[in-house]
Amino acid sequence: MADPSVYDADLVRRARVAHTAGDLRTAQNHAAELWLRYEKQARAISRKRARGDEAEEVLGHLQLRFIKWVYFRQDEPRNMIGLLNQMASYAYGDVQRHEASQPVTVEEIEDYRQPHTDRTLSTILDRAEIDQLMSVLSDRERLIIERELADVTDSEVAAELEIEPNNLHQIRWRALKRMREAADQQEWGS
Amino acid sequence: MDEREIQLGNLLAETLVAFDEGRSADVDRLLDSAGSDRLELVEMVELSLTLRGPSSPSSEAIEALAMTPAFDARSWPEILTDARHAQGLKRPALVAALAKHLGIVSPDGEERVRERYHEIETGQLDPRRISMAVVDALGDILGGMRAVLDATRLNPIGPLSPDVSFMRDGFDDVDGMVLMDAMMAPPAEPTVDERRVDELFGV
Repeated sequence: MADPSVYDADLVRRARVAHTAGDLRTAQNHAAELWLRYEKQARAISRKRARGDEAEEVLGHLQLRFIKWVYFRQDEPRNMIGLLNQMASYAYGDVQRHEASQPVTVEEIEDYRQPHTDRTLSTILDRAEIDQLMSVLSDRERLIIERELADVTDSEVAAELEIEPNNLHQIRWRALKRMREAADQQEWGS
Repeated sequence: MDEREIQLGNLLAETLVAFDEGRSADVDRLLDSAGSDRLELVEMVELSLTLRGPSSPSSEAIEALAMTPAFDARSWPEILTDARHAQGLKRPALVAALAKHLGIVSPDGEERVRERYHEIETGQLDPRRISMAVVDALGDILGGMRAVLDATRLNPIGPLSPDVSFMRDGFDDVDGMVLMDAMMAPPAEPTVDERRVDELFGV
């Protein structure tokens, strides 16, 4: 598939054009496709904000904000993961207001001016940037991550490397931690 | 080997499988089992999913999700009008039911409900600040529409309804002469019920 960010931007553009033209069915389909592309990531991001049932509530408010953003905003999506992280922080506020019986106002739902400051790999946009982060890994770590990206099962990778699955999982954990640290350094220059 | 790293590595692998299979309860259980390392585990899950990139949903899944209330792109005036017509309800009948649901029994209170509802359905009153009591009541009266109304409450209301031309042409359930008299009179102090209705409608 082409660069995901280009595909995402095209979906958003087509959803907004269809909405403006009154073709709501098409607009809804494009918005739904965009959400489904990132639903798993949104579920994980919601769980950084809350646990259990409350995390599901955050996810619901995050989805609502995401849909309104697709239909009614003008800005182009540059990075869906960064956008979802930013929306999740507001969605958590929505949940708090809801629990306090305070309806979410339009000013609150349209306010995304506050910069996103969470630790997140919001710089990852394409394969080239992933490759750049993977340069910090050893050959074995890189192979494990590449196999995961290629949907190779853990048992197959463990067999290829002649290691136990436990060992594979530990190496992958360490590799991801190193990639995260490298990404943090790229984002904040620390 | 670092035992904790092995545990977290195994939890990460199990959590990703649970994510892939849509087992939310298992995801939460696995994340919580990481104890004080829960947040780090969530971040590793997020990183793994980010590295994988976006999913490629089926057209069936897209169309099914697109028809859920959250994705409804219509404005409240469109939704209310469509739903009222679908229920075969004239506006006075809906207003009477709405007043009853809200516990408004006085004639002045019911008249204020009529005015505020008319303003919402014709796009003159923004639904974004109305109370959940009104959302709940309308959802019930219009036949299980609560989820749709709640999800679309923040949608822009769009251009004013053509019905707003009642100022010139008259309106089915509005007596034009009475309306003109009301406009000429000095504003009266709202009654208790009128104030209550205004609060419910976020005015």
